[in-house]
Amino acid sequence: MSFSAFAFLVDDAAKSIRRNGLMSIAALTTVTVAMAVLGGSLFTIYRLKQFADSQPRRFEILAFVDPKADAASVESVRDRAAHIPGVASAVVYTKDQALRDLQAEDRRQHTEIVASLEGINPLPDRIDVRVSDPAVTVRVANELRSPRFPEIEQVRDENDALSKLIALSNVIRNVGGAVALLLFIATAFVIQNTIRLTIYARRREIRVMQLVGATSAFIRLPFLLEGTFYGAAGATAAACLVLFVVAQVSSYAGQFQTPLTQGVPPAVSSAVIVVMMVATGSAVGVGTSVISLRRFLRRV
Amino acid sequence: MIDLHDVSVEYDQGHRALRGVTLHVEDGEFVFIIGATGAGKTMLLKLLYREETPTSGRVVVNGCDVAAMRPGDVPRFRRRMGVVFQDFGLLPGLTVFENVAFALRVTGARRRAIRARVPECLETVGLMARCDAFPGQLSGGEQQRVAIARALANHPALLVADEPTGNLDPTTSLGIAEVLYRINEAGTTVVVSTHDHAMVDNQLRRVVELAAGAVIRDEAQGSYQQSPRPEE
Ligand SMILES: Nc1ncnc2c1ncn2[C@@H]1O[C@H](COP(=O)(O)OP(=O)(O)OP(=O)(O)O)[C@@H](O)[C@H]1O
Ligand SMILES: [Mg+2]
Repeated sequence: MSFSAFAFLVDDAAKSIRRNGLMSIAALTTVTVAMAVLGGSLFTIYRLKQFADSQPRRFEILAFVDPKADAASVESVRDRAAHIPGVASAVVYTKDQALRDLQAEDRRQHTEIVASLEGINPLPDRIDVRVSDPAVTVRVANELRSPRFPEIEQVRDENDALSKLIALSNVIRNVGGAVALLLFIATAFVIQNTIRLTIYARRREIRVMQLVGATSAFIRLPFLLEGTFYGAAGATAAACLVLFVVAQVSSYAGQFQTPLTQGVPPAVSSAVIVVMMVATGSAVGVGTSVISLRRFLRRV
Repeated sequence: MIDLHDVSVEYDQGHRALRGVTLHVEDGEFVFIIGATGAGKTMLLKLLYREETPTSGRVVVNGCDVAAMRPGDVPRFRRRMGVVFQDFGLLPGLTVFENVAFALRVTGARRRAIRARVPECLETVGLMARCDAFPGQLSGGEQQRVAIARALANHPALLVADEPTGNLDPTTSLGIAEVLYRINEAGTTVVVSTHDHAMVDNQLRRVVELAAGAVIRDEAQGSYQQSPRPEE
């Protein structure tokens, strides 16, 4: 396709966006709102997940065995712990291993902790328990604390802040997802209606195009461009909105180290969010225009 | 150029728009299709530019079997013919020049080619002087000339016109007919449907008459006289 033909198509799409007036604005607005909800939810979930990931030893329970226990009883504790329902794995982290790791750490950090112990290993054997589902962490930890495990001196489990965070993230995911889905359906309807109006407004032109031998791709392209424009422009507006809100929240809450604002440099996540949103918006725009063309444009 | 063999077009209700039409048109011929309202003139022409496909029979235009054609091949097929309507089908927002250029632009022609070709077409229909006017500023006859110029833009081997003078007074109709003859003389095959007996009479052209979807007469160049039957 020559450049002048392409310029012609772009020009066509632009004309029809202007001519559709209110409908164009309605299309843009719904896309923007839908994308803002989706983008906002995604961003929040993303940040919560980053925060959760940055917490060490996720979903893990550390059971410290009485230092007086011998290797056989440590092994038996491990066996019994592994059989608690909900436990994915239970691994012994021996005191010797712990000491070696400490030595290695000494070398890296240029400290002399192990040397200062003068051959005595004060560290207990430890059993690292991984649960299959964060929801059972507390139950498993309590089981390990119970009298059925007399050899265990101390149990350290994930604080439940993390599980609250996960629950919150799930709520945001579900609610945000549902609202975004509804809005997307609304968006699809509005874009479809806009495209239909355009087809109606241009039916003479389309007719003439068909009769003088324009290919169906050539006839459809302006509509695809129009739909893509609504999707991409709405998404861009939504991305700006989300980033603006995030920047505001960050500048207020930055000092408090909240999960939403701390950690990762914002530029990285912003770019990802914008690209994702614009891509999603464009996809919705293209998809709906393809569907409307199928529905409303007579073939050849 | 055109080869229709035992062509019928049937609708769901069993209603037949055309029944067993056989028609052969040579390259460079000029043919009038006449007949009363509902006789099937428009249907016959629609088969030629593949707006419709036959229920049975064979339609071959420009060497292409219309029924067997894939939808993707239709645009290329149509670029080799020009189509003109009773209602002109001009785009009111475009000037005369742009309306003619439109047929070239949508086929991806380059600007230079468009600038060269459009004046030629407008010259043929005698409207170059009005190239910057909008269709609304033209008379019916002038608008029809623009429509013809647009149909000529892609150098068609075949020009199909469905009642091109249906809305025009006799003098203007004659002018349009002159334009069509001139195009025909330049080598283009022309098929024109009409109600307009004045346009057909004494023109010494081939005339095909349809009634209720069938060809009831096909008279070679020069032998046609007005049908004695009363018409609308
Ligand atoms: N889409 C359709 N569905 C059913 N019947 C149709 C359809 N299109 C045309 N017909 C029928 O086919 C027949 C031929 O119609 P056509 O339009 O070809 O007539 P015509 O000769 O062009 O008439 P006119 O001079 O009024 O333009 C008519 O009886 C018409 O009712
Ligand atoms: Mg007709």
